[in-house]
Amino acid sequence: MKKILLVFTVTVLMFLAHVTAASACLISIYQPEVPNSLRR
Amino acid sequence: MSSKASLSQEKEIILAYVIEVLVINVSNAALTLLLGFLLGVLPGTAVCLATVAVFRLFAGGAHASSPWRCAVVTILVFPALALLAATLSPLKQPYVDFLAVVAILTGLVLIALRAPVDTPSAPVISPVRRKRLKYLSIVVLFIVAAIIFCLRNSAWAYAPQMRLCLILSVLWVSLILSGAGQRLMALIDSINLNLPTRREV
Repeated sequence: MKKILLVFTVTVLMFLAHVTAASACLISIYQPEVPNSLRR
Repeated sequence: MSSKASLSQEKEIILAYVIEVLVINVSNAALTLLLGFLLGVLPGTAVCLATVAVFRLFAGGAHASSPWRCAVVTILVFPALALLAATLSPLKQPYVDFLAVVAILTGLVLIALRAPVDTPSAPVISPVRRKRLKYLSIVVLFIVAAIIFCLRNSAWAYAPQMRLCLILSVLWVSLILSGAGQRLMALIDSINLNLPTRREV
């Protein structure tokens, strides 16, 4: 059960990473360094 | 987490990035709403925050160099916009209409000329993506303009205040897209927060 929850959390976070990297920036006016693999 | 899920180093970096983004944005949004609540302008603060957030997703804008400076600006700006909207809400309709036209036209010009405004830490590299973000920014502006127009004829008691919140949010977006907005952020970045320490005797 713990393993499934962990995999689910990682999947959701990975999805969010792609969504946030696809947009120009977010609410805050500070932008952390986007990983090279997400740069488009 | 990454070791338990046996992730590669690349995925580990992505995970660290997204967690940093979430922590910064969720904490800033929560503190902004809290200040809005304390000042009695929670709905207005929420409207300003949501409007600017949707615009920034597509149009980008000026950035601060540190998360702390960012937090201070974010937490202060949105309740201030909501307070200003509440103060201006008794204004007569023609004045608000004039403000709305100025805000929408300014927003349209700046989006057309400058969006998406990216940063070295999150560059928009692909021309196709750049074009798509500009197009989506204009779509968002038209949706906001339509809401501003609908609220004009609404009988809802909070309509004038919410309308002004939207207008001021569009003006704020225009500012952070402009060169003046970037110079303002550079000025905020240049403020030295290191307080002088007492010399030991």
